[in-house]
Amino acid sequence: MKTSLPSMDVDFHLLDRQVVDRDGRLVCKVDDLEFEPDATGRTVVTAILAGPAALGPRIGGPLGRWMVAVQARLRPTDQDGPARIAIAVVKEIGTDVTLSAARAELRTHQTEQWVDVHAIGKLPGADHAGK
Amino acid sequence: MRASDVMGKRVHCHDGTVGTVIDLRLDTGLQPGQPATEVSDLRLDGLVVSPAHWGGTLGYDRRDQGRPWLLWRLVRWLHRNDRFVPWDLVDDWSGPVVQLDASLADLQEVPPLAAAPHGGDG
Repeated sequence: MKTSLPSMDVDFHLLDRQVVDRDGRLVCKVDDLEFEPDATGRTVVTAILAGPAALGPRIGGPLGRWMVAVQARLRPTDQDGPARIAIAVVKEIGTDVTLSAARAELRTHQTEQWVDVHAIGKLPGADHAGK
Repeated sequence: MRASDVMGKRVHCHDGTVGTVIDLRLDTGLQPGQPATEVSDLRLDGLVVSPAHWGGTLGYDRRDQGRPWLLWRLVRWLHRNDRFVPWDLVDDWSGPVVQLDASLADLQEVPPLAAAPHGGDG
């Protein structure tokens, strides 16, 4: 990834920044970061986490727990936890975070898609919405 | 580990409480003044810990920020006792507090963030 900063603070430089895909389309915001030890034992950022399951624990309290519970209910069965964008997909960190992938290739809108299929899609007239 | 696993937690060392984690500092490996360059990873350098817990430093920990002067002085005063905790000194972060394998005397002031070459914040 490309950056001009020798060092950066997570809260100041990354959290809540917009994430845009390679075409400049909004993907999500940085709700949390995932860290893992690398092969040399150094702790490094491995992924951007997004969505209610990432933001909920950050907010904490009853509201945070409610956000996580709602996301757990309105999710596809094959995805557990927050949406995860591998740091290898990050192209540049500037005033926003630019990815080298297209939005459609990422699994950041699973909850939105679930609601679309299971709630919005079942409303009367939803089959010809947009016509 | 997530950033939220340590943000906001109290930090204890051998001789008492240091403060609350208000930020995590990452090292990109670049030198100050170097133009935008490809970096291989973002290494967790350490924790920014504040005993006052007056929130963040609003960017006034950057070398190139000093205006408005009154606000700059106020933020610097509120954070005068902030300490930087190198990640190597963290013994355990998984509990309700972050436990350090260090004493207060081992901790240094928070090093200022180097500015971006063109004055941008990112």
